[in-house]
Amino acid sequence: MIKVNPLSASSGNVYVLFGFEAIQARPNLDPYTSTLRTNDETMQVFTSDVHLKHHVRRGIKAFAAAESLIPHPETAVFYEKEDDAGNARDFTLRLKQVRDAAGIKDSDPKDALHYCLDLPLFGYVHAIKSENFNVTNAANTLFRPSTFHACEIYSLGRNNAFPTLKDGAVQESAGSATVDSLEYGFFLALWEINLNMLRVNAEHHQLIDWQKVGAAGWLEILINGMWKAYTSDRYPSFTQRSQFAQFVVGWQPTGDVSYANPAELFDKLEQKKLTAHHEALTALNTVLPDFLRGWGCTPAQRFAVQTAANCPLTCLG
Amino acid sequence: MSYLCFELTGDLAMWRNPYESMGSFSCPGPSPANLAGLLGAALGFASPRSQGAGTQDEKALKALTEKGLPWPVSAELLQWQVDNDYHVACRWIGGSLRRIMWNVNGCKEIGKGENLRMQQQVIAAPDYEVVVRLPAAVARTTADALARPAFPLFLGASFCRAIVRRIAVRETLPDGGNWAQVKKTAWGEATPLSRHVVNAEATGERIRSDGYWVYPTPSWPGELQADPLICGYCRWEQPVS
Repeated sequence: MIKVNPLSASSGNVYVLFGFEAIQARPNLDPYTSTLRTNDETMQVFTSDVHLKHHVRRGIKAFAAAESLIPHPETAVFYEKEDDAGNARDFTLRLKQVRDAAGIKDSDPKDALHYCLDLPLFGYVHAIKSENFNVTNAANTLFRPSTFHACEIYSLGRNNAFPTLKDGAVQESAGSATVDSLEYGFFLALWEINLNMLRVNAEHHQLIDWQKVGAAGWLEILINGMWKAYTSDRYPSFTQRSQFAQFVVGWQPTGDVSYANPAELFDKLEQKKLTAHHEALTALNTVLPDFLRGWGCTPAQRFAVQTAANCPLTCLG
Repeated sequence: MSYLCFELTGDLAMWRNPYESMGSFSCPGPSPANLAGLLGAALGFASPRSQGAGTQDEKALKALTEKGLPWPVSAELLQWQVDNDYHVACRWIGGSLRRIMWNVNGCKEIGKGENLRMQQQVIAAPDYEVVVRLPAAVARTTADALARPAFPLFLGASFCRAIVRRIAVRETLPDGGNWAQVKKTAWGEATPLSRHVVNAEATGERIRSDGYWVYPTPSWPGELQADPLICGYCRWEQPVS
């Protein structure tokens, strides 16, 4: 478990930089084009905030179960739109499941907010007639999570395992398709967490006592959820399972910061295209120290640090 | 009076046309109402239907809904605009203005379980300079709030976090032109001149768009204006019968 140290101030923004690598994977295809999201000029690959939060939610559920954070971890995450058998759940059904799990008899419109762990962090809109309210996200990525380097993308042809049916008859040949495959990408996701918003969203939570754990407790849920989603609890699909957490660092800056986008580390690289872990590590050891300094991420301001065993970053040592 | 100046930037921006609330195409820049909302978030003025507002007065909210105000504006923010005679100017200071596709799986109809693919066209690498004319003390308080915002700041949508930098309180307007200018009609790229209606409870309208706020860009420079600041709020006047 990654420990989060107490924060020095209770307002303003804190930041978390999460690094993960994807090897022969397809992180977050565009739902319209089924291609990787790329910057065509630099060949950097990026993902959406929605994608990352989807996986962090899985990690939060796993973390809640592993640490026995709450009595019913199966309802730790509200936005779980399918059950284990793949059946769709709508908002009303999910809300009922949360209430049933918690044994709530006198329902309140804010039950989901007060009994799930994802909503105080990521917000939501409670769009039920005559109960409408919205919860602004306290935590979100400040920029699109992106590789800091150019990537090699292969276009791979695939055949379906079985011939398909057409007009009731089996077609002679199996269908085929061409898909993008990211050979190697080291992604950097910079999160911004507004501490006042987090307090507003979480202070009346019924399962995690704000008075006891404060913002540090919720940051621990976020950071450990992130880490678990990309280590012990990776999504098992072919496209997602080869993605691995590499490092995470959280800090609370005290002065002005650079607001530099980690994707722009690309400009500082001598070798723009990286194709392997050791190349990424060498590059990060060169460019990351200045980047973190610019963001006010000094050792004294850090509240959490974790690196993977194969990711010896000197600036986080 | 003083001028609160700051740069407003970020990764993506989604400035929706308020009369097309489900629209997926971003206007070129923020309207005066968007900028008022940003300042209100920094100062901690919560929307009445948000968790930030704390305990909700369901009776008052129901009355507002009956008047056609599904997501009412903070009463504190409306009063702040009137009390300080909120005037604002904004200009695009980025390169060529461009949009990118932002396609995600989302869910817009919560009564249905399946996903809905959403395609949005958002401004990439948005970069604006904003000037707000305020009483000196209020300008300083607001500058402090922007540096340490009470709530997260966004560029029109909650997936577009805002970065506010180079915050300064000055006694004169910054040099240079190309400020957004008010037009009754507009060709091509234009942001509706949307302003909060400060007597909304009497009218049922929370926003009024009266003409356009046209952002000059490098390829379409603007006209010189003696005073680019415009009143950022309005009152809904009853038509004379």
